[in-house]
This record gives sequence, structure tokens and C-alpha cells, in this order.
Amino acid sequence: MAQTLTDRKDVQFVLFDHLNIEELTKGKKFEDLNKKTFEMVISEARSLATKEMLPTSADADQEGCLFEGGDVKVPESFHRVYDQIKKGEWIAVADDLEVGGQGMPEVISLAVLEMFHASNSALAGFPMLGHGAAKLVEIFGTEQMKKLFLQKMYSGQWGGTMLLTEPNAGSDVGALETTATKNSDGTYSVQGNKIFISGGEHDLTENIIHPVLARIEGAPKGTAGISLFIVPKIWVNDDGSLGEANDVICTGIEEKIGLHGSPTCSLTLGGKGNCRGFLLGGENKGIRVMFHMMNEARLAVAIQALGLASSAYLYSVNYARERLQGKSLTGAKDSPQVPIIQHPDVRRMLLWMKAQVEGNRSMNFYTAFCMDKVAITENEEEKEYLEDLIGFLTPICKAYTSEKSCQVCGQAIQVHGGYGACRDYPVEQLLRDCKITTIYEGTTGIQAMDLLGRKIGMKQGKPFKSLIKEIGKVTAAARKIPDLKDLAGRLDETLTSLTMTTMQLAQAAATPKVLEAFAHACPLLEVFGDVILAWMLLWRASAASTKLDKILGDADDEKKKTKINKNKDAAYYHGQIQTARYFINSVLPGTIGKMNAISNIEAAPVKITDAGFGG
Amino acid sequence: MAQTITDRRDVQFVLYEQFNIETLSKSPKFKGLNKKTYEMVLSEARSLATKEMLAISPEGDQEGCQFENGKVKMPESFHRAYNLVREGEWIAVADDPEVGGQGMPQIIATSVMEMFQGANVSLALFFVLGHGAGKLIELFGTKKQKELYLEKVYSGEWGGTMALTESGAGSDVGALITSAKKNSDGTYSITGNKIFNSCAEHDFTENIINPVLARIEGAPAGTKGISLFVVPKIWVNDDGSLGEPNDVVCTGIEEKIGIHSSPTCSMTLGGKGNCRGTLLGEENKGLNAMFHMMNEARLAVAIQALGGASASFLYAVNYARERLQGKHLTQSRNPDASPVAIIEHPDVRRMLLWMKAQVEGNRSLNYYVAMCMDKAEIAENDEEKERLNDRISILTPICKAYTSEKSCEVCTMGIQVYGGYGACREYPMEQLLRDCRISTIYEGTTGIQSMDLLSRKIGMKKGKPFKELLEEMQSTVAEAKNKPGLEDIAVQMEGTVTRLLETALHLMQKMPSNISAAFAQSYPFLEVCGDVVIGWMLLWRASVASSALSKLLGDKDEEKRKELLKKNKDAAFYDGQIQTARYFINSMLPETVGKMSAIKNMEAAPVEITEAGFGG
Repeated sequence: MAQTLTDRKDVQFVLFDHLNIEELTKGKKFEDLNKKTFEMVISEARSLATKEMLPTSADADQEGCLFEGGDVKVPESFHRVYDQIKKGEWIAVADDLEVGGQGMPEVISLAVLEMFHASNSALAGFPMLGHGAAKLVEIFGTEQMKKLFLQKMYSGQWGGTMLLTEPNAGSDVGALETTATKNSDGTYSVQGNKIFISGGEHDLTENIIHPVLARIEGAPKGTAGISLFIVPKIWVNDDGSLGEANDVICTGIEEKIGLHGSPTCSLTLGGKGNCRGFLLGGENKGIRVMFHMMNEARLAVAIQALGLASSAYLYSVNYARERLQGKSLTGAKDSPQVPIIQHPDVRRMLLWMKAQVEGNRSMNFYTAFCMDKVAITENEEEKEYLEDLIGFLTPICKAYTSEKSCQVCGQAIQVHGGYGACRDYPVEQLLRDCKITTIYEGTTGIQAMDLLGRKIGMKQGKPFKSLIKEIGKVTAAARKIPDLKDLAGRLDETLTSLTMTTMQLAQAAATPKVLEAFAHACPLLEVFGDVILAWMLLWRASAASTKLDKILGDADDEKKKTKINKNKDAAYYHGQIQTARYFINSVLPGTIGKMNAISNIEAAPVKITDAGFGG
Repeated sequence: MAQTITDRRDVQFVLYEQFNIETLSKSPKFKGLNKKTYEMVLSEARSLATKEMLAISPEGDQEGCQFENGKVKMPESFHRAYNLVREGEWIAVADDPEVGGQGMPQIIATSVMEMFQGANVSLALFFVLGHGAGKLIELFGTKKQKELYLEKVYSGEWGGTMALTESGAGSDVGALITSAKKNSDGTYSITGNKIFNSCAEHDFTENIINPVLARIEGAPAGTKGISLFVVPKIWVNDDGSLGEPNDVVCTGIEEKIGIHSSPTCSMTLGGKGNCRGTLLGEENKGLNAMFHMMNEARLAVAIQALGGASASFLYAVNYARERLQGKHLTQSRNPDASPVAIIEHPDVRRMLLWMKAQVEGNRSLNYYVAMCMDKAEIAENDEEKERLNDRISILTPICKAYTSEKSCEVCTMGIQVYGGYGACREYPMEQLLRDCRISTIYEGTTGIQSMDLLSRKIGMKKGKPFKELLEEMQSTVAEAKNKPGLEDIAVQMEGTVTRLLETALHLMQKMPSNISAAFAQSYPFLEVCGDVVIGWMLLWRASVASSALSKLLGDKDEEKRKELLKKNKDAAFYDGQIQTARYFINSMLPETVGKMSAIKNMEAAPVEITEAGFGG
């Protein structure tokens, strides 16, 4: 049967050939693990995603969540599947065994999450949010808090959320108005209104734990005066038993373009003055704590988008192989209809999608792999080097992967033609479900400002230089492979342009031209994404080339062709090389053009008057 | 009040300043029309669009069409609006008064339709389809057919459709299997199943006229054996009275991502053997006739997409002016700074300016094509007429594909400007994207348009129309070179146009020996053509605006100029035109040039990769 979520062969290739994650098992942390365990975990997750999560996705889209009298009912079919996720311990895949995790590397956890989102993003959001909230408790919580919450959250017995946004505090989180007042027992009374809270209320679990950003009375304005509180929906007594309802009231849910099975809640905290929370991580230290969660959440959103794009791609390939329409461009007059995968323009669409899905998969898995290497390294210098890379790549993963994934889903509709727009086919839902990924957990614009404003200049540009160094390693290796030499050369040239463009813009940002510079923050992030994708695809092509040579041996061209057509592995490796060729020769020249555009630092977006926009 | 749908000032600028359409009135056909008449028509259309059509659009989205027992029920509120459109005679704006039209230029009809589409795509489609069916009858019908149908279709008393697609015949229309068999009375019995027929069943009108593509028994396979028939839902007797139902049965409607109040019908024709039609045009010449309608429909889809994009842009601008969020970038370290309207943030301005460039550039492109039609109508010699028709022909696939693709991107960007609210139904942005999504698909997908451009249009008449188009661009460049503030972008544009010619020649040269690899570049090529056309249109606009602005500013010094830009709405508008052109040409066209280099690489990977290599 055709695959519909993530391409099994491709995931294996990234993990074991391209990134070679088996080297992690040399580290103490992962010494008991091996390729076989990794594959078993992924295979079980795939089975759960395919057999249980996927079949409930379209129904949930139609049915949506029901809000009534402060309660939210999720789609009926979610209950059974959520229980299976719980039972399979799928919420804390990469967490330590002692806190209830599976102890897997992050990169494996990402591969699992990609499948979950590919199959049913609305449902996959619940474990994802639960995990994020628990992680905060694990890192910043007191012993007592860990005892009360941690195991129940990581096991999925209780749900989790993150309460940041208010009507007037979206991208500008420092503007929030929710207040906290210290009580004599050490708890805080919390009061305020939060919106856009995913999973803020639902009937999957008996309790929901909300990490809440609020301002303690008298604290400074802006982000410097924000603290984080753990606010349970139902109060948890010191002995772990459930107490009274904690005055956390859902006042409504949004009707949205997608993710209909995921309730987006408006919550009123302390409307009756009875909402209490525990301080997490120190007074006025909330943003620092939250940033930890935000970075995790940003990568998770990238994976969410990637999963949807991956699924959209696979549906499209399958459809293009089956749908007969039109004659072959080179066929004779009376030749029969052919599957549309034979039309050059359809192949171009598919190859573009493939390059995006695979390139973004590699970029995100690579970032997770860096995290795993951080966890096992004993060398402080290496640790810092890797952490720099992670910090630099995070905004690019979040913004670039989400933007491109939406485009992949759009292209999937196009491959399906008129059927693509119909609910009978899955791709229009994938686009709708994907749309929010460019917005939540920091919009694309916010990520771009993070890149230009913080990441590029940090440590005198050290992380940026590290990235260039890592890319250089791959091009140097690829230059030695005859088939890839030209591609490596092109990427090296692009790297030089990227360095120049980046320095030019970073310099402008430090002058009175700061506004003009920041009008180019998004274009800059996009070219970074393009170059990183090219890096990843060339890296893949290098690994594939070695494998392909082994299969093909010394056969002559004719025999090689036959083998590539007949041998599935050979076709896959050959496909990796073609994907890199396509991206570097057909997409990257546009990227260089974009760099030239950035170098112009055109001031029109700043100069145009507000009235000049019309309307 | 903030404007919605289309920017009145911008539309006026295009009509009277960029294209100077008042010169049309010199011809006998448009004699007696003037700016005042045009403005009256547009203003009435705007009022209808804003007050009636826009108001019911979200409801239409939520409620959708109801299918039951072969009948399709439209949302209740749509009936009133449909009738108002009929009463206002808005279906045949640019048609001759003797067939029931308003006799306006095509460019005015285009502007009206942009507003209707921007207000309510689902509803506006009824008029597009009704008009298209009417036009076919007007052009190809017998006297009798015209007598029976024309006035009723153009007036909207009866609806109209176009029945091409079958489940096995979408982009490949020649594969259709609906059959027609001649009867002794000269009519034809029609049998077959059609799908994706917009508005083929509904309760607005007592009758619906379906132009149907079918193959007469024994006709050749493929497109050469296709004929066109007029198939009414209810048979129309010779005296014009209604007869029996004509065995045209709706078997279901699609649930779609958008345009929920536009019924997308599956139709069974002659399921009981009782469906009759009359031949429209000649036997086996159906595709020829249909192509006429298709070209009209393609431009109409471009306008549909543009209307949605225009509405999305205006909502985004209005929202960005009102939504307070974040400090000004230069105040980011000041804890006491107040939040500013998000239009103050450079990245939001970039998004808005990109949307503006796309909306305005595509508006000019599509209005320009409509004006070419008007000019072709009144052309005094055949040479001029041919030149204009060629221009229309080469620009049509670009309008259809580029405008629809970019409009979807504009609607997406509109959501982004709104942040989280953009994804919510409470705001209009997500519906605009959903309603726009189909525009890149129907009436010939983007891929089909790209093949049309590359295989037929660029090389037609030895490339003369293409070269003339580029020459026209260069004459705009030459003019702009003398305008203050435009010299540098005019030079940039000049180089880009030259590169486009090189790219096209390269592709045409390589095509015979690398046909598949060349066609893998067909959409990239259409896209760069579109970019360059937009650059041309924006430079043209800026050139006109620059002269107008110079008049307003006179010899004032820099300080006073700035003040005037802030105070005088017209000055701000004209300056905005110049900034838009600067942005597009300096920030977008370099990428276009890069894409041209990519096309020239003619990378064969899309052809070389094996089918198994795609994975899955």
C-alpha cells in the first residue's frame, strides 16, 4: 500500500545514512540504545499514527469541538486514540526514564512527532502541549511541584497548555495585563483573560495544568516584570489528590480555518477571585523560563508543519501515479492518456515539493540531533558550538519550515486539480490545518527579527560562522564526488554571497538605516532557509552517491539505467541526487537574486507614507 | 469610513490617468460615454457590492448550498442580492444595447466585476457564467437560438453554465465521452455525465441554459470531434414558452475548501434518454466556440482572484492601522514607550507593500487587457486590430495563471498581517483565501496556462507579438528615464526586459531537442513573464504619478514636500505609486532575474528522476 504520512525509507536514510545518529549510542546517555530500538519505536509510532490517528482526522475536521456552558467536547473519536497515545507513553519520548520518559534521543522523538502531525495535527497538539508544560515543571519546578505534577503530565493523565496571549498582548508579550498577588500561604492569586489557548479546555483529561504568564503587583512594565505560574484547572492538594475547581473558566472557542479538532480557548482566570497558582522559576523571571518552552514549541511547530507537508507530498505523488489525464508530451497523436506524473510540469511540482519536504526534514532533524549531541558531550567548547547552532537554526526552522510547508500543501491541491479543492480528498484539510503554523509561537516576522536582531550578531557572529563552517564541510566533501562537483561549487558561491549580504544587512541594522534593514529581515531569513536546504540536500546527495555507487558498481550506462529503474534502493538514491540537482540548479539561482535584492536595501517600505497605502 | 473591496482612488487612477480611457469615446461605439457616466456606473456597482453582496458573503460561507433530491437550495439571503443584480442589469455591462447590454467598455465591466468578486465570489460567479453562456449564443447561435435564449440569459432571468468537465476529462477535455445523436427534428439527444459544473443547478431562476460539450456519434476522437450544444434545464418551445424538464439532473454537489455558496454540481444528462439540445455553431467545431468562452472565462477568473486579493489587501491595511502591538523599533529598549499601530513595523510595511504591488500591478495588467479588447473593437484598420488581439492572446494565460497564483499569495499574506485573528472566522481573511484557492485550478490550471504560453503564444507569428510586447515595455522605460526619482528603476527594468527576451530565445532554441526539460520550465517561465509585466505596469503607473506629483509639489523644498505628502491625499497617493514601483523593481525583480538564470540552466532533474525515485 502507498505510504501517506512520512516516507519510511527517507526517514531511515536521514537518521542512519545522512546524519548517522547511531554515533549517539557511544554517549553514556544513549549507550543502551541501538538502530534496532530506534526503528522499533518509529515503527510502532507509525502504526499508531496510520491505524488510529489518521482515520479520525477527517471526521474531526467536520465535527470540530463543541463549546457548551464552559465545557469543551473534543471529537468523540479522539478519546480512544488519546488513551492509546497515553498507554504507549508517546508524550515523553525523549525524556529521562526517571521522570517517566522513554529516554530516546530528540531526533527520534521528532520523527515520531512528524508522523503524529502528518496523520492528525489537531490531536497531536494535545501531547505536544502537555509535554511542553511538563518540561517547564521538570526544569524549573520545586521538588514538591515535580512530585505533584510531573508524572501525571508526562503520562498524559493530565493535559497541559501555555497561557501567554491576551487580546492586547500577542506578538508583544510584554504588554500582558494578567496580574498575580502573593497570598500568605505562598501561592499567588491570578486574575486575567487569556485568548488563543490551544487545549485550554477539553474533556480528554480530568485535569489541565496551565503555565500562565502574569505580572506580580508592582513588578516592572514590559517583559522584565513577567512571572510564570503553574495554575491547575482543578486545584491539586499537597497529597496529590484533587481539590476544588480553580476558577479557570473557558468562555468560548474560536472557529478557525483549520485544526478544527483542537480547541482554541478564551480563558478567564480568577473571574470570581478564586484562582490560585504556584510561582515557577522566581519572580519576574517568567520570560526566561518561558523562552525555554518557546524554543521547544517553535521546533515542535516546525515539525507540525513538516508533517502536514510530508503527507501532502505523499498524497500528491500517489495521486499523480494513478490519475490518467492527457497524452505524453512526446507521445504519438493517438497515444493513450498517461498518469499525470509523466507530465514535465507535474514532475516539477512534485520535485519542488520533495526538495522542500526532505530538505526541511533534514534541517529539523539535524537541529534535534545537535541537541542530542549537546546532551552527551563532555567538552564544553563543543557544547557551546552546538548550542550556538541550535539557537541560530531555531528561528529558521520555525519560520522557513512553516512557510514552505504551507506552500507545499498549496501545491498538493494544485497537483490534485479540481479534486484538490474538494473535501473528498485530504489535501485541502492539510492546507487549512497548516495555515496557523506561520503564526503561532512567534510569527514569521518575529522569527526574522530574532535572526537579524539577535542571532546574527550574537557573540560577534560566532554562531553564524559556525554554520558557514558546517556547510563548508559538506561542500568540500561533495567536491570530491564527480557527479556533485558542479553543485558543490554553486553552493560555495552562494555561501560567499550569503556572507556578504548578511554582513551588509547587519551593518545597516546598526546605523540610522535600522528600519530599512528590518524591512529585509524576512527576505534574509528566507535566503538562509534556502541555503540551508541546499546544504542539506547536497549532504543527502553525497551520502546517496556513495550508496548508489555500491549498488551500480562498474556496470555500463545502459545497465546502470536499468538498475536505477528496477532496484528500489537505487531509484531512491538516484532520486536524492536529482533532488539536489533540481534545488541547486533551479531554485538557488532565485535565492542569489533575492540576495541581490536585499543588498539594494530599498527604502520604499519605510518611505511610503501611511496614507500612501490607500484604502 | 475605510474602504473595502477595491480602492476607489486607485481604480480611477488606472482608468483615467494610466490608461486614459476617455479617449475611447472618440469612436462611434463609445460616443456619448464619458468619465461621468463611467463613474456613475462604477459608483452604483460599488454601492451594490458593498451594501448587498459583501454583507451576505460570510453567511453564504457558513450556510453553503443545500442539496436535496436533485435540487439545490441557495442561501436565503442570496435571492435578494441576485434579484438586485438582475434589476440593475449588471450581467451584460459591456454588451450591445440591442442584445440587452449596457454598452459600456470592457474595462468598465472588468472594474465592476472586480468589485462583485471582491465582495462575494460565490454570488458573482452566477453572473460570470450566465454572461459566458449568453455570449456563446450571441456569437455562434442561430437567429432562432438568439431569439429564444439571449435576452433571458443576459438579463439573468435564466441562468447559464458551461458543461465541459467529466471525471475522465479535466485538463484533457478531448477525452470527454458525453455523446450526442441527431434526431429527425434537427435536435440532438445528449447522454453523459458532467462534473464540477458551477451553478448548473440552483433555485435563483426558473431555467438554466447549459452549453454542453459532447461528441456526435461517429465523430473523430480527441478535440477534433467535439461539438457544442445548448441544453436547457427545462425545454424551451419554439414560441419561447417553457416545456417539459429536459432530463438534466443534478446528482450531487461538492463540499469544497471555499466558494461554499457556488454549487459545484455533478450532472447526469439524458439518464432517462430524454435530454435534448440544439447544436451551437457547427458539428465538430465545438472546441473552437468553447475557446471563445474559455478566454473570456480565463480573464474572468483572473478578475475573481484579483477582487479577492484586493479586498484582502484593503482589510490588511485597515487592520494594520488600527491594531496596536509592540513598540516602535527605535524605542524597543524604552520600557515606557507605548505600543504603536503595526503599520509602523518595517516587516508589516514590507508585507503590505508587497500586497499593494501585486494587487495594483495585477489590476493594471487585467484592465489593460480589457482595454485592448475595447481598442480592438474600435480599431480603424485590420493591422491595428490584429496587433491588439495578439496582445490579448499573449497576455491571457499570464492574467489567468499569474494573477490567480499571486492573488492566493496575497490572501495568505493578508492572514499573516492579522496574526492569530487572521485564521479565525470572525475576520474575513481566511474566507478570502479559501474562496480564492480554486482560481489557480479551474478554467485551465496554472500548468495548462504555462504550456499555452510556452508552446503557442511565445512563438506565434514568429514571435512578433512577444517582441512587440517587450518593445512596448521598453517605450515605458524610455519615458520613465526622464522622470525624477525613476531613473534608476527604469534602467533596472530595461535590463530585466532584455534578460527576458534572452531567456525566451534560449528556451525556444533548446525546446526542439529537449522538449520535456523545456516544459519543466514552463511555469517558471510564465512566472518571470508575469513578474516583468507587473514591473512594467508599476513603472508605467509611477511614471504617470511622477508627473502628477511634480505638478502638486512644484518647486517646494524637501521639508515642504514632506509636509505636503503627509497632508495632501493625492500627493500621498502619487508618492505611493512611486514607492510601490521602487519596491517591486528593486526588491522583487532581482529575484526574477535569478529565476531567469535558473530557467536557462534547464536542469533536467525533473525529467531524469525515475518515478520510483519520488518515493512514497
